[in-house]
Amino acid sequence: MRAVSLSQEPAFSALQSDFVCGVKDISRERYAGVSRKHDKDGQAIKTTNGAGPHNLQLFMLAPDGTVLHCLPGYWHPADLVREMELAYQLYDVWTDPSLSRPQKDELFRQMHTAHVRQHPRDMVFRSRMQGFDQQFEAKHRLYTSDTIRDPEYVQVVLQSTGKVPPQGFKTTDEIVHQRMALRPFLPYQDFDVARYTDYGRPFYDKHEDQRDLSGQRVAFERDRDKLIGKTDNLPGKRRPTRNSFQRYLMQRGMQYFLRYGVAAATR
Amino acid sequence: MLASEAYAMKRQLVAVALILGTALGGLIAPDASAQPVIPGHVAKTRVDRLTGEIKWHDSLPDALAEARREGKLVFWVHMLGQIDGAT
Repeated sequence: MRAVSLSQEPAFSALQSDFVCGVKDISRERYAGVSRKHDKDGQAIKTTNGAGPHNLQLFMLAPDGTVLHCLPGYWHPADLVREMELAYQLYDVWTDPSLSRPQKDELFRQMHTAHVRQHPRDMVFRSRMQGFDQQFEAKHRLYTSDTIRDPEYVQVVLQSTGKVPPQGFKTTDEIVHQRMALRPFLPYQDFDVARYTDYGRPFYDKHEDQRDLSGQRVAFERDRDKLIGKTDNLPGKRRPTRNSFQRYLMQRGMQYFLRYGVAAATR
Repeated sequence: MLASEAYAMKRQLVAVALILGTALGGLIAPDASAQPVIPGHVAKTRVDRLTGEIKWHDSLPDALAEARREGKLVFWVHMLGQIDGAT
């Protein structure tokens, strides 16, 4: 994100001239996802809008801390600036003294809902959800996920082919605006990051450092020590367990201590 | 060897070759959707520019105070790791 979006035009100039910038490391937050660790001089790769929602969130806040917009995951620099412009339009609404709070909230909903309809085709194309995130949604919450446009269609195709049909899913730009429309002018501290960013699997990594310059993956290293984020939540994580022999030794140890240790102490 | 046995053996060999070819092809075939990567030294230059030419607050109250003074919005990034280090 640093090397392929925020540092690139037109996003870089917009950040420099129109925003006060700040950053927070969310590695230990309960809503954080997991990724392979990337050094500053590691390779980078472009991806789709909204990819890696658990690992990265881009907030646009009014100076009083009100959330005007939040983009989860990576966003293309041109699409990011389009959303920044919306944030400034929403700020005008928020600071308009002639509007009541209910009127402001209604305008917030309308503007977020309308904005997605104005997205150009190339932005919508860049906003297709990652295939592994679609599979996660279909597998874990087919009929409850707000990311699936047509659950019955997805289920039929999944059962007959074993694959999820991309056209059965909403695009991430649509998901983001629909979710934002439900959260009008919330204070930052009240914004439910965990629920807002909850789509797709928690682990996201494009294996940038395992690819050659053409983008072909040339290495398949799976070293858990190189992960960053909330690794406790990863499926398959080894948790310390006691086997039956260890439990037996523990019990015998306690019995031995009670029988002889306590007797010796009271003698 | 009878002609029918030779034919059967030939068919088996072709089948094995097809299976192996499919399996190996799946392993080594290039990914058509692969995007070119940005080399490490280019990524580092870009990150250095991003963090050198833009001030990044690590305190939200400080960022909000500056935004009030300058009449700007705050761009507040949640990320795994450090913006100027490993992520």
